[in-house]
Amino acid sequence: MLPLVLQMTSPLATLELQYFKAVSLYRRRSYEPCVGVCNALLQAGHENHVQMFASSAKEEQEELQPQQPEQQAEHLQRIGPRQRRRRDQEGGNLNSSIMPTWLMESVWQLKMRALTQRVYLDDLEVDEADAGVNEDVEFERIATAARPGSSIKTAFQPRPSTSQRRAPSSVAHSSDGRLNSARPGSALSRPGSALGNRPASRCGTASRVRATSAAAFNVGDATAKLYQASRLNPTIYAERETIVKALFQFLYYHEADVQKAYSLCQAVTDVPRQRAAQGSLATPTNPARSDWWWQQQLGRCLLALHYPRRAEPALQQSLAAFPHPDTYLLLSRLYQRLRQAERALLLIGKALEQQPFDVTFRLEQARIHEAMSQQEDALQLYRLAAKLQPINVEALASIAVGYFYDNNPEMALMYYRRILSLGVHSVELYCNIALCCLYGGQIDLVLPCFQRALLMATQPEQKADVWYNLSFVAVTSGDFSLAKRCLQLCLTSDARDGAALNNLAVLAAHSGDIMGAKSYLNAAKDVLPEASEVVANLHYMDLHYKL
Amino acid sequence: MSLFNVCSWWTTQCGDITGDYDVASLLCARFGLETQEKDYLIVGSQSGQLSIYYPHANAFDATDLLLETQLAAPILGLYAGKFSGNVRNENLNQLAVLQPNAIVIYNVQTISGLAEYGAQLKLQLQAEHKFQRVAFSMCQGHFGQVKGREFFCVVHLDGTLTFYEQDGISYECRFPGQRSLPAPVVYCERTDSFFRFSATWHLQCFSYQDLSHSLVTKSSYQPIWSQCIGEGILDMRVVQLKETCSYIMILGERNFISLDDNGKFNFILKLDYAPKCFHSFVVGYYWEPGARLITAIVSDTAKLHIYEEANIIWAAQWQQPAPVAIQRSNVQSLAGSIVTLSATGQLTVGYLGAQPYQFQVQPLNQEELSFAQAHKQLQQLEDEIKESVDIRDMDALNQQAADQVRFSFSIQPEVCDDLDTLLLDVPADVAVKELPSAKGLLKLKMKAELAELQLVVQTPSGVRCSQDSLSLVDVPAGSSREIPLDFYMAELLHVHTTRVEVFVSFLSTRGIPRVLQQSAYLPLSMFYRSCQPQKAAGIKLTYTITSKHVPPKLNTFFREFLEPDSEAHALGLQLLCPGLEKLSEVITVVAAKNSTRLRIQSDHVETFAMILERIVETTLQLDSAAGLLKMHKKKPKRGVRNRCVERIIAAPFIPIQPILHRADVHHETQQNIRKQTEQLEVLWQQFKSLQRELQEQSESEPKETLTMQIEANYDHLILEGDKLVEIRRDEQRQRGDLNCAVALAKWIIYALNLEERVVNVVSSVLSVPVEDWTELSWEESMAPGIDMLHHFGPLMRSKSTSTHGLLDGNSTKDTFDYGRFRRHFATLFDRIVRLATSSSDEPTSQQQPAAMEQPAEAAQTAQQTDEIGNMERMLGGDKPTAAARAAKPNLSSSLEAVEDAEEYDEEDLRDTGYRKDYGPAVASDQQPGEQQTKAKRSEWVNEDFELPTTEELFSDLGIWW
Repeated sequence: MLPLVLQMTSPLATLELQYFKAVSLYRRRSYEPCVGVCNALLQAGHENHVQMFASSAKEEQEELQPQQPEQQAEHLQRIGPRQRRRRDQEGGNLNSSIMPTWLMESVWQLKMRALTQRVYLDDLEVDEADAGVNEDVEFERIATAARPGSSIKTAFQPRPSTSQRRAPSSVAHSSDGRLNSARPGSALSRPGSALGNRPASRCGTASRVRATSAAAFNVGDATAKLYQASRLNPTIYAERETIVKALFQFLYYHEADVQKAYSLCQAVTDVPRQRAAQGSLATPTNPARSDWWWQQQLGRCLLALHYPRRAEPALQQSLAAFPHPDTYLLLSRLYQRLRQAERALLLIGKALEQQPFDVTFRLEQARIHEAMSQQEDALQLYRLAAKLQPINVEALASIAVGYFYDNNPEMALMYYRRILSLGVHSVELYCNIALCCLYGGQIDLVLPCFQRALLMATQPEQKADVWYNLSFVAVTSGDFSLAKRCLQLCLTSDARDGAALNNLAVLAAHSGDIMGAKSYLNAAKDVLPEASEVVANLHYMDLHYKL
Repeated sequence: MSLFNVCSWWTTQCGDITGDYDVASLLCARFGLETQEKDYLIVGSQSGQLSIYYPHANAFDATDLLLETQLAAPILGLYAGKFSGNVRNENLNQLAVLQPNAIVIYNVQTISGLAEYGAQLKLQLQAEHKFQRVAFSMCQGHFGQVKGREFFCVVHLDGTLTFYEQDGISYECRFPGQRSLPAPVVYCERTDSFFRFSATWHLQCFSYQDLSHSLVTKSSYQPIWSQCIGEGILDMRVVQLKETCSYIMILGERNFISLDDNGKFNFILKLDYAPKCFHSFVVGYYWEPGARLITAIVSDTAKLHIYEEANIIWAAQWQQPAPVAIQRSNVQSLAGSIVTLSATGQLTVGYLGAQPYQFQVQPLNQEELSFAQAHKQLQQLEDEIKESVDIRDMDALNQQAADQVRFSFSIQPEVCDDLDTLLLDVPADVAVKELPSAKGLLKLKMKAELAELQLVVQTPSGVRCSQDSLSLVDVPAGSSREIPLDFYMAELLHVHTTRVEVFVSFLSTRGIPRVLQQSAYLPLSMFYRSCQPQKAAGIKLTYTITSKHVPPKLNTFFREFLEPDSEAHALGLQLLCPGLEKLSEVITVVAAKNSTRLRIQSDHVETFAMILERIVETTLQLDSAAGLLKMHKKKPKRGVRNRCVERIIAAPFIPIQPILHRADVHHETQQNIRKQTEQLEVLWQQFKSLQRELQEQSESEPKETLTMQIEANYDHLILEGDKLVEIRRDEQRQRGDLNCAVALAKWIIYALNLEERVVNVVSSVLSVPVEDWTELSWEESMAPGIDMLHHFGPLMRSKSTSTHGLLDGNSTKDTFDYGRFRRHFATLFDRIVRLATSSSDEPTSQQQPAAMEQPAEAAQTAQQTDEIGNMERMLGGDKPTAAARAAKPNLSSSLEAVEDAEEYDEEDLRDTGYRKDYGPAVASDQQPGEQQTKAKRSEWVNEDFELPTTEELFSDLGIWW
């Protein structure tokens, strides 16, 4: 980025102008350049020992109490000296200038906002994480809580073990550096898989995706230490109401540290209580402190931490205070988590009374119906949503899936082509179009579509999906050896694809390789212990092929 | 179709293409210069370039650009309004240019063009207001409902407002304590109030009265109302829809929000895309019914969404990247056009076309596959692959590999004491012993280009190397490397070998993997120091040097400890490591004066391995250096004697009991570890459930009990964890001991007078170092191998190759039967000894008595002393059999007799139906049996054994495949 050539009189103005540039970049959603400018400013500020969050009570009538500067210095670490003094080349005036504390603070906050927005992913648009993640979260929490210096770590040092674990995978960024916020995977759910309970093609949970991509972006950033969530003391920040909301979102969305975000929520909601206890009448309790927003976030955190029962009162309270759409959706998710889909429907119905044409609520309603396996109602609602908002990809895709499973691949194909013409250009979509073509009899289009899908596939899971679906083409055309090859290619991309293993077993059994079939089935059982197909096949094998 | 195009009607690129345009960089306004005037498009970049356009027709023409000028300061915003009081023409507007530290107001004047150049504009400076703080944006309006002219206020970066009213009058308005990211401030004319977005994400409404009065009264700024928006905002705007009501339209980061001017929410629309900028306007007039509130929102993916209130009515797609600013404007010959400005300065006037948007998929440019060519390529590839994976001629391959990477590895025979223990991070308990270390040198020279090279130095456990691995990527041909290495003790364990192996594995640029291996021996002086030879010892072994090229002197073997011309016949060596205080582990080597025999004796099994290794290896090395006999690598034929015997031969005796004892101890520790781990698992579960309880407990309940439980549980957990660490340490030590014991047996068997196949098979089963896995301890992993030898191997007594009834009892049982393993293990050694004894009778019959005598008595004493000595070290427990066995030698004078008594499993005998054959032997097993063994010799060796095929084996072992 070129520095502005300016004939500014005061160096402070130059700094402020840099800050303006950063804000302008932020407004344009150019988050990465914005972070770059912020970094330069923070570095400059640090080199001049600008203290952040210094109490400026004497300067103006701050309603905040001074926040024990020494203690804060511990939490906000100083940045280590930098080797290259890049700012020198850009202009000595930056170095010699004195940056006011408010500016430093604002830059800090701006960078935090930019980092958050960069990886923001609506948690309401993400499918429910499966139960396994719960255990993970809990384990992490306990592990980090161990007392320092205890020998527990060395005692549990793993010895060489033959079992292998699957490495976590990451998700690609879209071109503008922002993560996709559309409902991936579920909206374009793939028809044609032999097993009902195959995991969606989306990999990892949103929080993990965020955490990895966020961490990768911070590499080599000297100011990264200013944003160390683990060192943050919630009670100190709870009273700084100008930044605390941004800080919460940073913790929740960027750091994906739900536990920390939750404790911040609690600290903030505790503030008025403490004030009341102290009996300080000088500062009237700000009603905004216990407003609906914090209640909503409290509920959000508790829901993410898998405490739906405790989240419910908070969300109800928030909803009573203010009918924000997010609160409705969160509550609906909560009821679904508690397996009270009827209540969720009632709630969404109430929201729709006020806004009958709101697509968000209609879609939620449809999803609930779908989860209750009331496909007809769900489809009806998806149709309505598509009518209200004809460019809604999720509604269109769901209708298409409905048609596909209704043995109407031609209609499904129409919808998929409409999605394609909306500019959605993804592996899953091409895969679906190809399958529709296959079952609709438009054989000439099948392979080109798969070709495109293969060309676009970047993630191993996606490749595995495409090859898996290609094996169906081979099976349909009777070319079993091709089908086998496809499935084997699927397994090279994703060795833990249970459906492929199962189908490979069936193909092997067809060709008379009973031993091979059994070993494939056993492998499939390892991956998908509950899949009925695998169990049934194994049972059948046991009965009919005595060894 | 549901998605349409935004058609481009008029487009141009603004002067500054470096791309510093913002939402405030675009202004569509009229200046009142002529009567039939349409909108001017004014663009100002952050680098200070100001341009004014006036589109005439549906394509850009040079005459459309009316003004282009470069200002000294960046342009942060552009505004038009009646900013000056003394203007005659009521329709005349001024242009305000917001700069970082000033706001400049210009009058716009027309210069009529000559010829076809068209008209031009000129800016005339009207006023300039300077300020100290850098501006962010500006807000204008008829503050205080003044007629005829507009006031304005500048919003600064730090949130301060500076108001400019009548000429020259200005005042500042600073909101207390609330710094935030700057956000625009808007003015609502209907209620004469300002809307400000606060740092706490509230929308606050201040009346103009309050703000202007507060300057005088210094009272705090109290908002009239405040509403929580709950997210950051991108932009906001005030639109008057009705006489009685204006709406504040807010584009949040996630939602599109509308409030009326009393602070009541009109709607919140959750956006399912990332918004970038927006424009709200009213179609119709607010004082007439039927006015429609329309909003256009631009998404990050360059889609234009048009809403009426909160309902989407149109969606269209831009072909270019998403703009940063959007305005609705009324330009000449296109009313209601959409004016957009991109971040790179692309100014476009467009309209909503009814032509559907078609997503153009790039054609797949895949070449048509030519089958002949593809076939050729495939053939080529397959040939390459075949060539690289062809392993028929391993020697040639290895030779080739050695040519590609030349490497040599050597260890200096001298030890040194100048090890930097701190630098090499040697544990304190080892460093304090000041053990000698050795130096080595590794030379690598790459002759060919390599994609990857990895080097691993494998040292025996306890010994560490200063650099045990090296990875190189993209190694150019011709590069070379020399790595000096230090070898030193890092743990106080018994070391079982002095051999250090270096593996070099590399991938050529074509991905062909090759492995090279070299080894060298550490000097013995690293592990022993010489001491007084001992006269008697528990375990005595005898080796006879049969090679003529090896002088049977101690000097030949232990040059480190003897003078070059020393004629000493006895050498005592003491183990330096682990160097226990109470116990000095001494081994004595005695060379016979008149014969070629060497006797090695010690009380401790652990001392032997390295000495035997040295003796055997040196002999073989010296002999092959003389070049008379070559070890063939070919597969040994049936009935061929162990070729090693032609150079060195060991007396057939194996100290079985001490070896088994090591295995016992090791097994017991394994059991302990398992128990301990289970206990920890239980505690860990408890820990987790307690933590969960704590999490789930509501705040009102008392926590004391739970906290106490957690504390206790935690302390217990830590205690047990520490215990486990301790046991693991023991285990490591015992593994070292077991290594030594197994290595001892291996070295003896290696030089026994047996059939070569037997030696090979047994040696491959007795592999060192022993490994313990999480799921499988060494004993468990050894059991199948031992069983194999027991049932199928060359040591099988039965000639029949039928495997009927040999089904191993183990496989059906879930638990591992250690007793059985131990029995088989003992039997194995015993059979070997018998076999070797009987076979060595014939060639060396005259030596035999002497050789036999030694081990026989050695065995007795060994068992007695060693077992009893070890008994104390044992943790007690299940050793009645061992004790009984230790006592037995007293009853009988012969080793064979002792072992025969419990040689075979009853179970096995029944299964094999062997008892019938062996009956007399069992009956007469009290007779020490040289004749008997001779007679039964054919029984001992399963002459024409066949290893079972895999299928037979697996089906018999019950392994399902």
